[in-house]
Amino acid sequence: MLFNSYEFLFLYLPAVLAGFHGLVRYRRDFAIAWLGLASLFFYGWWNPAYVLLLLASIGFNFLAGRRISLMPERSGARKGLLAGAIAADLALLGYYKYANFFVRAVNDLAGTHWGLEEIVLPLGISFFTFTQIAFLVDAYRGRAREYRFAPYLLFVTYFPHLIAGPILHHGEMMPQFSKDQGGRIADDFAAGFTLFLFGLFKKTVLADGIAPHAQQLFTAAQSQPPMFLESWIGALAYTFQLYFDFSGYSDMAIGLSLLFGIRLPINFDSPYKAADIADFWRRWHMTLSRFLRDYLYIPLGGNRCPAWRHSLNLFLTMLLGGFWHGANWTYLAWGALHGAYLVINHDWRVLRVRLGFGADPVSRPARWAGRLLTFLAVVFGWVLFRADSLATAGNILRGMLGLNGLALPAGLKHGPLGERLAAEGWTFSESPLLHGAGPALWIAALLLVSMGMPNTNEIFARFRPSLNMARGVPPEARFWQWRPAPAWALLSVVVGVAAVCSISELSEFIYFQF
Amino acid sequence: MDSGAYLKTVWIGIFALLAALAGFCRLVDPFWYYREVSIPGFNAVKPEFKRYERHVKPQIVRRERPQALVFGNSYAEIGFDPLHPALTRPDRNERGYNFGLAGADWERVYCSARFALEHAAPKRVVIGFQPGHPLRAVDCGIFFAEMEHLPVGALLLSGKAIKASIRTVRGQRKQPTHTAEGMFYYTRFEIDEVERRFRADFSRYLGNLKPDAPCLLEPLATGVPPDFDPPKGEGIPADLAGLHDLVGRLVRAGVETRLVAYPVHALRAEADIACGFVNLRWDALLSVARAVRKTDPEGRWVEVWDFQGYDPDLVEPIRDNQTRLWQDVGHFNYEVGNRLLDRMFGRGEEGFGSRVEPAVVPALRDAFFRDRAAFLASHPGFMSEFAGLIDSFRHTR
Repeated sequence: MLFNSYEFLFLYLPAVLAGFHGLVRYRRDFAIAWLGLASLFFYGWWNPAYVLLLLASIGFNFLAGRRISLMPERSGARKGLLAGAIAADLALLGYYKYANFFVRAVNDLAGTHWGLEEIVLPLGISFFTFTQIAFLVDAYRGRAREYRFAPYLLFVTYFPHLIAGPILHHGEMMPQFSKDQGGRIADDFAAGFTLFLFGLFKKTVLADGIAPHAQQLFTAAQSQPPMFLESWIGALAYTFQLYFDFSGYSDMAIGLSLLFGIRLPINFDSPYKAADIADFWRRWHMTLSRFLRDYLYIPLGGNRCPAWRHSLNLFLTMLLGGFWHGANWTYLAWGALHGAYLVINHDWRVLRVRLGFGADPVSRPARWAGRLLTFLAVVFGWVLFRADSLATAGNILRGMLGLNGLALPAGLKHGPLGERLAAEGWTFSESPLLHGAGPALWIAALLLVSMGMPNTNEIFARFRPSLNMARGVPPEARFWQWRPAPAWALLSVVVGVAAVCSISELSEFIYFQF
Repeated sequence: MDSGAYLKTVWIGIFALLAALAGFCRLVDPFWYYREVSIPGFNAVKPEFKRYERHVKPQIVRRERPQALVFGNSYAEIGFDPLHPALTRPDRNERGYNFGLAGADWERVYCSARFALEHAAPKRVVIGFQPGHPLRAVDCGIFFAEMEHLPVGALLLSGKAIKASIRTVRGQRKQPTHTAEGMFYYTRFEIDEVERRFRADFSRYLGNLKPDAPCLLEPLATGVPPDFDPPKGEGIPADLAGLHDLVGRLVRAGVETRLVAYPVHALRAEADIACGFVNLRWDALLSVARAVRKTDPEGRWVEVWDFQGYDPDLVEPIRDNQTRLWQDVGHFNYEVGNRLLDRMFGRGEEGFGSRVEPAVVPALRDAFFRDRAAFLASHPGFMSEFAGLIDSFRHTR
C-alpha cells in the first residue's frame, strides 16, 4: 500500500488511527499489538505471501537477539551467534536482492550460461534487514535488550518506516512504544497531519510533476547520446525528483508517526545546501549515513588508523552503501564515486589545515563555491544512480560535459535570431526536454525551494515533530514556522487538496525497490 | 487558535473542497464513465473522452454487456456504427458498442476482444483487420490489467479530472468527438481539411518506402499485376496464431462474427499495386480465410469479408471540399461502414464486396483486376491524379 493512494488515505489510515487511539485508553500493550498487526496488513497488501518471510525474519532475529543478550559478555559463543545471525540476514538479503546480479556477473566474466529464475524482491527488505542487523549488534554491545515479541514486531514492521525508512535504532523506539511520552495529542495530531500533507505535496505535486522530464532523458539516452542542454535538464530534473520524492516520503513517515505520538528521526536536512560532500552525507538519508557510520565505518577502523587506511574505510563504506541501494553496476559505480568524493574532500581539508587555512573556508564566495561544487558533484552522481546501465550513464555524462555537442531548442529556430543562429551553423533539437520553458521553470522553482527555503523540519521545529532537530532552526520563533493559525490552516487545505488531486495515477516511490 | 480548532478547520476545509470537486467531476463526467447526467450545453459533449477511451471503453463493455461489438483500430472506430440495424435489434432492446480504439495494433484488438468475451456476452461482433499485418497471439496480461484497473478515484479527484471537467463545460460548443456508443467522428466535420490530410497520408505511405520502390522510380507505371502463386497452406503460421485463437474462442462462444479487411480509398490501393505490393493483400486474405476455415470448417459463425475495389464509394473524388465518405486515404465514414455492415449481415446489395473463402481468392483477385481495367479505361483522370500524388511527393521530399 502506498501513502499516496486513496485506500491508504481514506480507509486504512483512519481505521488504524481509530483502533490505536481507542485501544490506548485501555491498555498501551493492546494498542501496540494493534499497530503491529496493522503494519503487517500494510505490508501484506502488496503481496500476502511475503508477510511470512517478514515474520520469519523477525522471529529469527528476535530469538537471536534475545539469546545474544542472555549470553555472557565477551564469550566466543556470543560473538559466533552474532556473526551467524548477521550472516543469515545478509544471506536472505543477498538471495533476494543480489543473486541474479552475481549470476549475471559470473556469466559475463566467465562466459558461462548459468540461469536463475527472476526473483521478486520483497518490499523494503533492505530496510528491515538493516534495522535488524543494527538490533543484533546493539544487543551484542549490551545496548539493546528485548524480551517481548510484540514491541519488537512493531519496531521492525512499524508501517510509517517499513517500506523506505527512516532506518530506526532499537534504543530510540522502544521507550516510545512502552509508554506515552507525554506530548499533547492535539498538538501532535495537528503538526503530524500537516507535516504529512506537506510530504504528500512534495511527492505527488513536486516530485511526480518533474518526473516525466527525467524519464524522457534517461529513456532516450538508452539508445542515443543526448546533447548538452537535454542532459543537464534531465539530470537536474532527476536530482530534484529524487530529493522531493524521498524527503516527501520521509516527511510523510514522520508526520504519520506523530499521529500515534511516536517520533521518528529526521532523514533529510536540506542536503542541497551542503557546503561539501561530507556535509551532504550528514544531510541526505541521514539514518542510512548513521547506520553506515555506526555499523560499518567505525568497525572497519573509522578514522583512528593510518591515513591510507582511513581513506580506504571511507571508500569501502560508500561502495557498500552504493551496493545496498541495488544490484547493478551503476549503484556500485555511484557508491565508488561518492567514496572517491569523500576521500578527496578529506584530503583537501587536511591539506588546507597543513597550509594554515583552516579546514572550512571562511569567506562567503568560497563557501558558495563549495556549495556549487558539491551540488554539481551530486548531480553527476545521480546520473549513475538513475541510469539503467553504465552505458546509458556514460551517454548522459558525456552530454553534460558537452562531448555530444550542443543543440538549441527548436522553438528558437523561427524568427530573426533563429535564422541568424542557423546561418552561423547552430543546430536545433526537437527534444521534448527543450519544448517551451516548462522543464526549465520546474527546475528553477524546485532549485529555489530546496536551496532558498527552510525545510519542513525547520518549519515544524517549534512542535518538535521528530527525534532530532534540523540544523537551521533559529532560536527565536519566525513567521515562517508552522503553528496552529488560520493562515496555516488555509495553506494546509490548499496543499492537502492539491496533493490529493495530484495522486491521480498511482506511482511508486523511487525508494521502493531498495 | 489551538491545535484542536486548527485540525477541525483543516479537515473540514479539505473534505469540503474535495467533496465539492468530486461532486463537480461526477456531475460533468468528462470521461463518460458514469453516463447518468447529460445536459445539453453543460456536459453533453465530451471533448476529453478520446484521451481516456482506452481506460473507459472496457469498463463500459463490462458494465453494459452489449450484444453487438465492433473491434479494431480507428478505421473501425470511425467507420462502424454499433447501432446499425444489422448489428443490434432495437425490437429486442439490444445494445451495441464500438470497442474500436484509435491507434490500436492487432495485439490490443485481440486482447480487447478476449476481454469482451470474458466480461460481456456478445452475440454479434465485427472485427476489422489490415491484411498483411501479423495477427499474432500475445500474452494479454498487461492489457487486461490496464483494462480491468480503472482508478475510479482518479476520475473524481485528480488534477486531470478537474481540468477535463472544466474543459468539458467550456467545450460544449465544440463538435462531439464520439457517440455515446463509442463511435468516433475523428475529423469528419472538417470537410475542407480532407484533401490536405489525404495528401499527407499518401506522402507518409510513400515516405516509408525504399527510394527504389517501383512507383517512385516510374510514377506513371500502370502496375500490371504479377502472377499469383500462393503457397499451399496447411498449418497456421505463427503470425496468424492470434487470429486462429480468437476465432476459436468466438466459435466456442457461438458469436456471429464478421472479419473485415479494411478497405482503403482506390488511390491508396493503387499505390500498393504500383509500388510492388499487389499480391500481399491476396496472400494475406488467403491465409486469413484458411485460418478461419480451419477453426470454423462449416463457416457457421465466422466470415471473412473484403470490399476493396472500384465501387463509387471507394473512388469518391477528393477535391473541391466535396468529400463526404472519406477523411483521408484510409478512414471511411460510417455511411460507407453502413453499406459494409448491410452486406456482411445479408441486408445489402449483391456485387458490393465479397465473402472470402480460400477456394475463391484467385477468382476474387482476377475479378478485382478486371474491374480495375474497366475502371481505368472509363476514368482516364484517375491515373493522372495518382501520378500527381506521387509526383508531388517526389518534389516535396
